[in-house]
Amino acid sequence: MVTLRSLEKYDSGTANNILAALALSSTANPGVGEAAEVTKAYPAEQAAVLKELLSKAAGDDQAETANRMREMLWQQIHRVSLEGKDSDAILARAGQAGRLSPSLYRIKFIGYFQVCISLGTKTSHVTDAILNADDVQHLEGKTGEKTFSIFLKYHQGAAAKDSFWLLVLAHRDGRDLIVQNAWRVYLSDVDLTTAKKPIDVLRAFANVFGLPIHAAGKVDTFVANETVPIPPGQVIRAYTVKGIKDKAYVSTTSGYNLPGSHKIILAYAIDVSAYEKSLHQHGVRTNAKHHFSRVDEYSLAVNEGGAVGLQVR
Amino acid sequence: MLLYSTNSAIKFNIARDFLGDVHYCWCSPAFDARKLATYSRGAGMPESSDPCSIYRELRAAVTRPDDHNAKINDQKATLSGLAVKFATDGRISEESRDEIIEIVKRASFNEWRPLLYVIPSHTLGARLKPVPREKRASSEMEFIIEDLKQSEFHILEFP
Repeated sequence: MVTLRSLEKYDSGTANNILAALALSSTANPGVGEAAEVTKAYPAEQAAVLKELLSKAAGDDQAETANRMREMLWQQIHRVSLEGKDSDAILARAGQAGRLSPSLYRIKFIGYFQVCISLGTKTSHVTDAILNADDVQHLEGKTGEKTFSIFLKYHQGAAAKDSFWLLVLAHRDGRDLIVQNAWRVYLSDVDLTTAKKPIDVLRAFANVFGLPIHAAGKVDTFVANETVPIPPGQVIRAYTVKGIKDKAYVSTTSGYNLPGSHKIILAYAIDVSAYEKSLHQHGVRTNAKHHFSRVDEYSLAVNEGGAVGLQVR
Repeated sequence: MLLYSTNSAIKFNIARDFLGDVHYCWCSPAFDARKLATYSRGAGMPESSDPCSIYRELRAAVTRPDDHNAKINDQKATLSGLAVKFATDGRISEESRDEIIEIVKRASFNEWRPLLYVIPSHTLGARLKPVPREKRASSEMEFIIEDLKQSEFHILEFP
């Protein structure tokens, strides 16, 4: 994409403003923007750019010429705005912040997602839930750290009791969406009366199928946004999942250290056997091979330097 | 009164993610002018302003992908122009402007699929602004809402 001769004498900011004014003054599609005052700016400059675009875009008919001109306009705005910049880095920045269009994320699956596959969820279901989500929530994390996104997609069952929300939890790392797990949240099993956001759906699901987690002096099946103080020089348990002996479970946790404390972004542990039983009641076929825990509890140990490891009993 | 507005999914996402979930839309009190009785209000809405026609046109554009589709090029030019305008006005940062422009360039066809906003007007008051006649495509009424919150409208998407 070459620079328009009519823009060569302007700095990039002025050139961009001229292009934007022309783009907005020529829109033929109500509902996507109001041209307003910006279209009156740079009238002579707009005319010069328009003349040059028309000479380059001339087609067989007026409609084709107008289309080519519009295409060249947004391409020129892209060139002027992003010249010399790393496009991939720009998208990674947007991705990390949760601002990227779904189709521009690279969807990946952790190895442990195999558990969800054995419980009847296909990767294609997950991809569809991400690309065509009915609702999405991007959780904020520490700058530069991976954090979570939750996607929801509604599935109408043949019987009302078999309708469910497919809930997908993924880590965001730049442009990568690394799927951690996916759950069918059946409306007949989980009370969603007070759920307003996707995280509320996940909380309600964990309230039914979750195992108790001890954190920040409280016990709950779902922990989010809790801060645990770390006394200087000590190793503490940021959280403990209890009652897991002879149980098969899938746990998801994420957190990071702040000065003098550990922030838990999210922590829950799902009793997979109980969940699988509910899937069978809804006619879902599974082929899970469960690994039952030999210990009764595990904890995440942290000190001021970060996570130290897992302690088990 | 219910109002209808067709917008692309990518425009919805940009407003949600970059503009504080505040949505600008141009809306009509009639959804499909073709289905109205000849002399009823809204029946004279031309296709360029008719939410149902715009929906069909965008739907066709994403169903049969064409890199040079006029409807999508129009949307790309407008969204790119708006990104520049918002950055110049200080409403978004230059980094956000760059992200929007790159997203607009690279988004898949599916991102341009249409969404229908259904907007109950009874809570809008003075925020519901009639479009001046000289800016309308016809004598049929059209409205602009500059600061619509997501809690104030429903989104419909047809397969």
